[in-house]
Amino acid sequence: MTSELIPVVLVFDQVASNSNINFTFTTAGVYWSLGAKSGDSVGFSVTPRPVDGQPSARLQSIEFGESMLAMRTASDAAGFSSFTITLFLRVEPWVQMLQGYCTLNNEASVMAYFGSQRPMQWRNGRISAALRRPDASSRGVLVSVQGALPGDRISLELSTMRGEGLDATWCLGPEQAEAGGIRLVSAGGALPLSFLCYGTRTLQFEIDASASASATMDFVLQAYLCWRPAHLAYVYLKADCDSNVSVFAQIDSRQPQLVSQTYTVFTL
Amino acid sequence: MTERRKRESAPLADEEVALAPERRARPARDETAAPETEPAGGTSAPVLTADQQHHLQAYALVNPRHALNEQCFAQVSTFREISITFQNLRANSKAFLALGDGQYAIWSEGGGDSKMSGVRFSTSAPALYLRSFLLNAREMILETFADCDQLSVSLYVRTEQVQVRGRVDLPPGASVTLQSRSDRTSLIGLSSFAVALE
Repeated sequence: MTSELIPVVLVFDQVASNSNINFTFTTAGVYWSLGAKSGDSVGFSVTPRPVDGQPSARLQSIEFGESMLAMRTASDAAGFSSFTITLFLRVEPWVQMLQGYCTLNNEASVMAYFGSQRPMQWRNGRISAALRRPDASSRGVLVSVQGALPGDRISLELSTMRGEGLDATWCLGPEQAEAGGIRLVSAGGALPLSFLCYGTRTLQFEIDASASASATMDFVLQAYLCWRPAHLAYVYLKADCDSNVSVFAQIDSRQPQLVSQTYTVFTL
Repeated sequence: MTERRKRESAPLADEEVALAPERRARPARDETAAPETEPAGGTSAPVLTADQQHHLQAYALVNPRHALNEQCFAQVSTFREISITFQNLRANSKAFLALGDGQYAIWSEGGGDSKMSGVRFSTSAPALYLRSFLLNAREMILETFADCDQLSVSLYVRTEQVQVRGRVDLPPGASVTLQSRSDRTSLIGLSSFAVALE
């Protein structure tokens, strides 16, 4: 058995400016890694969260090696910063958990998503996580719907290249305990949906026709797909909606892509 | 391991290499994936029709780089330092830098040994004026929202090659300098590069 690479997403919130932030592991067998995927892999990426719709500069430097992840926030950034970092964790075969510490300001928190597990919440001080091997038979798909208007219907169809025995379906995710499961989150506070159908091949949404058109109708669904046979490398997603709606999909640790009104290729 | 079997059917061999590292947990499935290379009568795996083989090969041919990356990650343990400095990236522009297709090399954080150095993005300006940046095994993509005079990336190349080639795509007016322990090269626009790693 060799090391496994687990995709990690760290969502930082309320980080103070002009400070140093450091994550250090104190247990053996767990290392930050750039991973081994290219192409549409999201690898190591940093996306500061826009403030009032405007992009904001949050970091002056960021670095990581096998045993440390450190960053310095900008001194001219007013108030607190929020940003999202994606990275990989290389885990030796015998390792089931990690422990360590992080230096953050007391108001800050980090939601750490390892693979498809429910997130760990890390604050200043000791941190830990129970680690599971990534599930080989399902992939998380983050579906983001933007620009919908009241009464709109959106459907997202999953399919594969035509061929005997090639099949992909929406599913409920890994069967592990503490798997993240399906999550539906609204960008505006209240879910704008009057109807959601999570079928095996199609996801269907209908926006509440009586909702106020000025409220934001954006929402995000964490879905999962599984496929046959095991070595299938690509699936197709197709969005069926009005032209004012944009549907973005992101499979696991791949880069997000806009789903067109025809077969759009996504790597598994 | 399946990688060493049947080199003459080249596309399928690449696919076996791509399969084996990623699907370690399911060796049984790997067997059914390429039954034509099984000894006759050795297993009960179904034989693929010509149509099915065509589909498998289509997938395998489309992404040979996947196998190269996984092999490099698993087998190469030499890391060469390199630093990349972007200059004069104007606001709202995108810079792209990638290692060449056939290169047996991937970007890396430098492996073990508890080093204090790894992958580092930094700037002499007060902040990184980046809407986002991304670094994966072969590509680096930066997107700015304000003028960036200088942006430094220092990282490692995981390779046994003595030089590495790639290409860059920069907005007008910007330049990038790649510096290894023994060599330096500077580029503008849409260009390819070759830099000795020593």
